[in-house]
Amino acid sequence: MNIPRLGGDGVWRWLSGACVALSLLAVVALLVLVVTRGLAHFWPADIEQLTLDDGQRIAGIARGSAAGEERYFTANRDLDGQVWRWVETQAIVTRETPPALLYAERRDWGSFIGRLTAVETPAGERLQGAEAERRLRRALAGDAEVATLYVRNVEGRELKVAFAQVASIAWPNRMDVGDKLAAWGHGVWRFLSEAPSDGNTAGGVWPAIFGTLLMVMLMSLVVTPFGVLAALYLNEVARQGPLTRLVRIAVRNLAGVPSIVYGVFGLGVFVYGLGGRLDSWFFAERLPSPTFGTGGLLWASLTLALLTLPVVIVATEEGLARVPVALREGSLALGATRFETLRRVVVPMALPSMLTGVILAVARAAGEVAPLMLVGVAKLAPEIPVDGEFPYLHLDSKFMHLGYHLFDLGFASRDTEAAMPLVFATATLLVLVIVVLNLTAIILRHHLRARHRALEHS
Amino acid sequence: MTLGALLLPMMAMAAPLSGTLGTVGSDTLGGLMTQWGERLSARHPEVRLQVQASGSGTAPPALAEGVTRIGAMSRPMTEAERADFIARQGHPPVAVPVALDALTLFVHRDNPLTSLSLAQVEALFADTRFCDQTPAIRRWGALGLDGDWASRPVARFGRNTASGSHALFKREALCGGNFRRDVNELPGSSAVVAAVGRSREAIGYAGLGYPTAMVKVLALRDDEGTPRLPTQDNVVSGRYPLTRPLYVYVNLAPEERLPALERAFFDLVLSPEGQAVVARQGFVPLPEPRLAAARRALRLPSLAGVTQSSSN
Amino acid sequence: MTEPSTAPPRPNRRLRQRLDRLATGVIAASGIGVVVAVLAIGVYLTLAVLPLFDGAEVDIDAAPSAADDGAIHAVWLADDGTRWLTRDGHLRDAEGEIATLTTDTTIASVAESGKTQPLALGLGNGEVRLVPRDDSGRLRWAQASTMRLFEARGVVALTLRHAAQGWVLAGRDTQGKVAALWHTGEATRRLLVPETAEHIALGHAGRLAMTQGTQLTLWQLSPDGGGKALARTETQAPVTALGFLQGGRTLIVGDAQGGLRRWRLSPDATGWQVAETSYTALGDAAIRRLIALPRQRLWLALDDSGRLGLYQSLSGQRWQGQAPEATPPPAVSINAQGTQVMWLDATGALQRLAIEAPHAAVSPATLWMPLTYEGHSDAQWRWAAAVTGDEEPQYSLVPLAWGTLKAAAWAMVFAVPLALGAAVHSACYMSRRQRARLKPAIELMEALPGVVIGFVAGLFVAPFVERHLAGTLALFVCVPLGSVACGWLWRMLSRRWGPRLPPISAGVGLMVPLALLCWAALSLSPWLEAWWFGGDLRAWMHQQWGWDYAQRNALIVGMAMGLAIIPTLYSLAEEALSGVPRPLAEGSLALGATRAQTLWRVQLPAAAPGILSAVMIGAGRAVGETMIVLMVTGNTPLMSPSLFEGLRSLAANLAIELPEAAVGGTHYRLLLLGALLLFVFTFVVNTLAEMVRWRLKRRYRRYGGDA
Repeated sequence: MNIPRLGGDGVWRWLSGACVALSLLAVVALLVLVVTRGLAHFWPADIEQLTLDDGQRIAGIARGSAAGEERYFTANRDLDGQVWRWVETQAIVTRETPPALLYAERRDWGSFIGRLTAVETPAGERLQGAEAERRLRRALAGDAEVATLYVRNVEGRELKVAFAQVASIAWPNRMDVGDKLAAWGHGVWRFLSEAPSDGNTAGGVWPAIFGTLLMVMLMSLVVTPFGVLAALYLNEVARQGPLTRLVRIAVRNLAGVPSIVYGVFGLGVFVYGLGGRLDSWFFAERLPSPTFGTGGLLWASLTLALLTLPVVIVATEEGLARVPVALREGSLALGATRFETLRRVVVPMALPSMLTGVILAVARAAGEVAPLMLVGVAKLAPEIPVDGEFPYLHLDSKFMHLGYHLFDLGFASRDTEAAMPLVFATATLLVLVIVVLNLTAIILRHHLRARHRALEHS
Repeated sequence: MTLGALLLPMMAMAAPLSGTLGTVGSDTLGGLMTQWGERLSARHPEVRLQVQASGSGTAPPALAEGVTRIGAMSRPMTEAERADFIARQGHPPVAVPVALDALTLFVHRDNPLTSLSLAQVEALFADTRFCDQTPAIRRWGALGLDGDWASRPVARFGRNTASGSHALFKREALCGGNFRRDVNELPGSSAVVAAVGRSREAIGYAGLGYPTAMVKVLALRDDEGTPRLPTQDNVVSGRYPLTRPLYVYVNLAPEERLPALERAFFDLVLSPEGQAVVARQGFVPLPEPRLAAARRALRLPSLAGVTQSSSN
Repeated sequence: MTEPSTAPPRPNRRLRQRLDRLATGVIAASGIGVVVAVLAIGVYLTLAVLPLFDGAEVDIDAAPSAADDGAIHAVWLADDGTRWLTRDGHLRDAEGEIATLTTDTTIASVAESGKTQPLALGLGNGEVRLVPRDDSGRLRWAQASTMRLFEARGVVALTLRHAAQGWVLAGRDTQGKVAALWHTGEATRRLLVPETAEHIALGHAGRLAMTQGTQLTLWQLSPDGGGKALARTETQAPVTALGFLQGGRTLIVGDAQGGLRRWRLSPDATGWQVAETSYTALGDAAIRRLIALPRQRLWLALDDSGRLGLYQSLSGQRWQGQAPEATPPPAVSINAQGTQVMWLDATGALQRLAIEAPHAAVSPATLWMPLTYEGHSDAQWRWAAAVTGDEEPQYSLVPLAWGTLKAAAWAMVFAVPLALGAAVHSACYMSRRQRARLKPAIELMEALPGVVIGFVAGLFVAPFVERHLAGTLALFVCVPLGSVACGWLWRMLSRRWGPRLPPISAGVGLMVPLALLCWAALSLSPWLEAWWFGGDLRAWMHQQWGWDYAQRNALIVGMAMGLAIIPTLYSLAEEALSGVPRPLAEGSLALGATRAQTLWRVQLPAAAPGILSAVMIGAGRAVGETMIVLMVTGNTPLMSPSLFEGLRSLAANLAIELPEAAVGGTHYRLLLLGALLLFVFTFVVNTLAEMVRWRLKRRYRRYGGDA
């Protein structure tokens, strides 16, 4: 059998193929890493009870190992002063998963791992054992009332926890897969619907989701008209000459300016310039406390609108260019003015592509963090900038943002090790939002092209 | 106990407090501020605290310009910052100590080192020798570690220039000298700890409230050479060399009374409940006398008064 | 389609035309608006940066003097007005006398150190009177205390500086004897220096500079009352004026020939090393007086012929002018911001100097040249913002610009081959359908937020690569070899089974084998290190080449940022390649050239300008990327080209430091200068790239391409 030679052609084919494969691989690896870790966070893991050779007992959730040692998340910061334990594998005598071990999330002091000994009702009645647990489960479901829980860790130390302090309780060792799935779903829901607690290291991200959405909506209100008008100018109104070339170069430049520079511009011009002016005109009675003279929702939206302007312009232009010239000429020939042609013929046809542009702009804005760090994002702003108080929408308030929340969790929360799953969960959410937005835009564009092709052929 | 001091909190209760309190400043205090914010909202449902925590350096300009009335700082204001504040506002800012902290040195948990002297700290982190003249330390061997540790290079982690930890470390441990240019500057204390926990050759400094499972806290040797860990006792007594109070600065003219929102905030912070948050975050609560002094300085009712009036 | 308009056209024709014109106007205005927006960014940044380069200004005016006799000794700028101190010990303001400080002797000298330390008055009887200050820095004249410095002779020169928990002061008597007092809060110790001096100045931590003729001596005082000589040196001409700058670590020496020099102490292996640098001289007359200002390490020099100069320790002379009176003032008072200086001239007239030099610490030299900073023995480029106002500002943009370019360059090293390879593959080796599937995938990749990539790279990949360095580096060899080997295998298989193999693109088909290969290389990493590098590649690199490995380094930034810019590069390059008119490639193939020959000889040269513009736009993006660099690097302002060391980029620097910078200050404006540099760089690069693309499109159109 003769060995085939891989000629120059083959080498380049496979080398360039490797480039495609590597790029895709990197993205897939990144997404898989983020999503699996993010979603695994809500899975109720089994709690192990270890007995060590010196008689010590430890209960915790296994979280990795290194060089003959294993790491356990043991919770109970108030009892032990720490939430992690490294255990030498050799020192472990027995490993069990006792069904009675419970995992409680508290609003203070983080989680608790241990056993339930008793509960106390608001009437002062004290229930023990199985009855206590039944009562507690009913209370968690909202059918009964419980005032205080008496719990104890595996070493036997007692602790009293007010029921109001408890965010959730689970007995993971007793759960079957169905229960765990339900608990997982519940965990995901709480993550999406609750505000952060315990100094941003626990709880959910609802204010960040809402802040991101609101900011992005305000931004699209601004960017859509301007982007579409500029694209109309480039494609429909202006004669193709030096001026349009200048505008095109300007659009390219806007797209190329680093996002942080937009942040600097927003800070200098919007926040300090416009905001400071507004304050001295309308909110002088509140000075020196600034109203609009500090970063906030409005300025962040404006800054990001400027940043995403080129995205909308480019997408709209693409759509406008695809409107067949014959249609335009037909409309003009029938006596319509240029504006009427635009309004009745061109714009309706290019509408989906404008929508694509806006969706892409929204996706871009949802992921931008650097400029927001300068113009109004906050570490914690649990209240939502929309409420029943006049003027209902508070454009001057600071807001939380998913991307910044991610940065903050990863770099400034108290215990990054403990916050890491939360970081991955937030990253998953952010990626998911952006992927969905982008997929929508891609599908929309795909349909659009198909429609235009059909139009051209008809 | 005067009648006024008894009546005031009750008067404040009559009309529910509402509004938003904005704070700017220290990242070290960021966790504390958010927790106090949560509790403030629990006490007064209409009150919100907005926390912007990017570093102590952000507080003085924000206070001086009137962008905020409350600024959290993990170091005292410098003379220049105070002078700027006085020039803009006409009176000095009031520094309220709210907790005690210590600048803590961390190494990876596998690192056999247990303690350092201040001179070694300077030799590790500084390009200048303003305190002592120990030659620069580049390998762990120079700190007495042997085996394969001896030839391992030291990787240094610290905070960015905006942080009070950076400024205070520079002033106390480097005697005002310059950091080496290869000290990694990370934008958060926990990022420092996380980075140290992920690199075996690393050493880093941050506030007290940050140790994780991956790092080990180093003891510092005092003047007599006794290693001191930053325990609660050593911090309160000041035996640990790099101890510091954490401050919340407030823009308050000498004859002015604290506005109701700020009053509610400080009343919470300087209460047993507020100080319990401090302990929970891993910092050291203010000892009783300093707490009382801080309340007096703000003309808050003394703690005994608070318990009495709330039990009424 | 669209329904024909049923409305009668005639009656509202005017209106319709007006509407048309209006709409056209609005649309055109918003088109122009885009240009305006770009200009506005540039203009705003330029306007905000320009004040940095304004010259310094010193305005001298004769303030109204309440002095009706020549007995006034000194003048004070208090917050609530000016105070006069008479030689016979009375303190007055515009209304009249406030306090009597001394009755039995005269005031011979005055010293001040900032607005928190007491004011020291040297008396004619050898005593020192200390006036304490309150919280706001106001002097409490009524609470003054007295201490003895000399037995009998008057204190003719006095210098004061704060020290740990207290202050130090040193004085000289009429015969040149020098004594010092060190107050530590509990106790005050007196120290007699066993040397005489003509001029004295106190520096940081009890360092006392003394001169006698050309001899300059540095003493180290200690709080327990001891002292020792640290260094002795000769100056070029007899010293006529002496002063420590703010911070007390830089000594300025003026001599009889008008020379002005900066002396620094820096420790080295043998002890203390003294180094000097000279400044632009005022003239050749002897320097009479040096006045250190409390901000930005600014100082004033006055010479015998009345020339007055404003200097900054690093950027040098900022202003030169003429003092109203040549004789040196007996005492000066400076406000806390260092913007106003008051002195009395020999005639008793009050002079007020208004100093306008907000950005004196910035000059082209301090931005772009290596300088020797306090405590250093060699010139370096350093960036360290003076946040608290006490530190020496180290404002060199060179390390930041270097870091920016380094990060971008390494990102390009990773991204360009991958993106171009992928573009070539999809343009030349993929079917239309495969391409249509690949494009959305790459677009999704473009949408990945920097903060996610940065966080994964910084907190996950960086420690991983540190542990598996050998394996990671091995990937750069394994992957190309492996993919060619896969191709060869595929050809073997297709020989054997041919049509039974699924029709799969090399790009997608390689994903699984490459993933396996990467996994194998990384898990073999420890053995690789054990076999070739003695168990530790990093230690080996250090021994062999002296390379240090930092966990947060350019390698990780390059990989992470490369991933972020691949989509941009790919889309633009693919567009350029697939825009190459088909007849060109088809002709080449028809003439018998292979695919590879056509690619290299025809398609790539034809698309080269487009690819160039893609690379330029990609570089522009890499330069401005913020979150990735911020989270992945350690923000170390180093100047090393090494792949394994960290960096600090302009964009990341902006994100960290701008929120902290005082608005309008030097630091703030310098950060804006950084933003302006980024803007200008991307502006130039993008404009060039756009022009290249435009010309390319025109050329393709000429050849009948469809682009």
